[in-house]
Amino acid sequence: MSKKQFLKMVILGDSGVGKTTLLQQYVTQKATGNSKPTIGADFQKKEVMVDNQQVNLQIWDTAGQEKFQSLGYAFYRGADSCALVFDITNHKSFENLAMWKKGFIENASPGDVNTYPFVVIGNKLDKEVNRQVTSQEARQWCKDNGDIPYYETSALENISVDSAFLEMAKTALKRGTQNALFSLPESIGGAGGAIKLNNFEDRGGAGAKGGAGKKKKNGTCC
Amino acid sequence: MLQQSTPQQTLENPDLKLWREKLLLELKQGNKASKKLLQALKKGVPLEYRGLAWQSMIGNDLRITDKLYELLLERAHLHMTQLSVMDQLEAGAFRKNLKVIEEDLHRTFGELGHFRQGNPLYQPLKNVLIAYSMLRPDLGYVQGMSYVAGCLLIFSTEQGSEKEAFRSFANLMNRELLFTFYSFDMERVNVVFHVFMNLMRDRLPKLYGVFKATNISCSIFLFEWIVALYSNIFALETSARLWDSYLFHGDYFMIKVALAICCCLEQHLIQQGVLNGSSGTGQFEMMVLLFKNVKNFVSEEGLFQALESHQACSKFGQDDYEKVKKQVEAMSNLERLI
Repeated sequence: MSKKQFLKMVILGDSGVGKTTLLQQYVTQKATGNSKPTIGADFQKKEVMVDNQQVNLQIWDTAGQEKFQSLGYAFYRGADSCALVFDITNHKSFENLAMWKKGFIENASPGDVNTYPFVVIGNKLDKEVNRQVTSQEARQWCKDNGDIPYYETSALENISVDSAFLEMAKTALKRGTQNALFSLPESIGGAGGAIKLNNFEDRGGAGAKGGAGKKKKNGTCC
Repeated sequence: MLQQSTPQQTLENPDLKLWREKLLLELKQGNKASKKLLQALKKGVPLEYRGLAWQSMIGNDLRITDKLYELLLERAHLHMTQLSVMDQLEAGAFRKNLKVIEEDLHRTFGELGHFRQGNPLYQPLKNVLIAYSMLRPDLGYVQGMSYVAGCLLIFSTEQGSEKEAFRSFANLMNRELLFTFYSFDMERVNVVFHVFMNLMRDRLPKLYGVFKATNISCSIFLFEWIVALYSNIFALETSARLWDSYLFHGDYFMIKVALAICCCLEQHLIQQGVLNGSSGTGQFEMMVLLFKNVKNFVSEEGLFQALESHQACSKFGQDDYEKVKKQVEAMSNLERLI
């Protein structure tokens, strides 16, 4: 397929693990390590070449505080790929990956969970001396969770940031082609459809399981 | 603050005199505002008197005392030192709040550095936020609060006065709009979003058209704007000037500011020749990036000019806000914009 592709990605993980800095580094090739707390969600775009194909990435960077999840769900919808980020110097942030993954699956309706393009990122490699999560432990978790690719990065020092995002794009593209999502014209607005729900069906959506049944607009068709 | 004065004259700025001799008193008495006061608020309260003016405008309906603040901090200290007899659930929630507070301190107004560890406002901000999470464990600490409390500390009568900042912070959080957002009362938040979309539809139809074409709702920006009271999207002095009016006029003014920003952005889009009906993913991205980087497109001057004279928002007042809100509240099956 030679036409331009669009991929929607979301970045999830605890507050302070470096989601915003990762994205800043990836998109602008610099990071100040001085980013603001993300309230709601931030957005960046980037054009990349994947396997000789131009791909337009729309990346949503979400708030890390759990309380914001009820707002975040809207941004999950229609995501073609999801990065689960933790801080290698903070074990709790690693333990919470399961919670983030669960929240994503329940709210993004990602189809077959086992083949969904997750990527796990252990960030802050520049603080290796304070490491609390071993690579082995992280890899094991990824393995137990459906062989999720694992990357260790330093958003601050630009280590492996590109590779992690590229992996996300590649697996998402591959899966998308298999599902023939991209031949549908509506799918180009993927992120747009995710901004708003059509019904007020899950009132009290502040709870965790609100929109679980909601189908991605373009996901059911073939 | 440093004041430049030439050797020949040390004449006082007439604004300062006016505030000291008349306007501060007027604010304190809380009678119907004079024209002079309204004008002066638009211009912004001089730095020297901002702390006093804010205290008067925020008031203390909650009757927060200094003693209460001390007690809350003592209680928090017990939690921190594990001497607490509180049940596990409460202690767990407290520690969660504390963790996020500690992560946010240094990156609150990070470019100014006020709240980095070792700087004089670090501990005061931490204390104020901790005390509030003890006062309102149902809300706890929510990201965004550090900006509101931080701003109050910076502009308190004596910079860094914790008790004053806490009193103001607790009372401010009790205002309807902030409380609705910070308590994640999503149904009410949704009402506010609808109010705003309706205002856009009626007052800025061109921009509204792009919203519709790109399937964007105000939920992508309005939450952030409101909870931080614009302090994390504009320069500190600009947002303080907005607060001068917000603290006096109340919630509708925050919506009015959002409208004014949209006026400026619509103007920008017109100048860029973008508002001609075409839609697509390119436009979606352009819109989101525009609204997520307001500072790059809206100047302080442009913003205040829009507030003062743009037909879509200059006359917008309390009554207009209440009216649209009632209309929205009366609608059944409100579409969910979140």
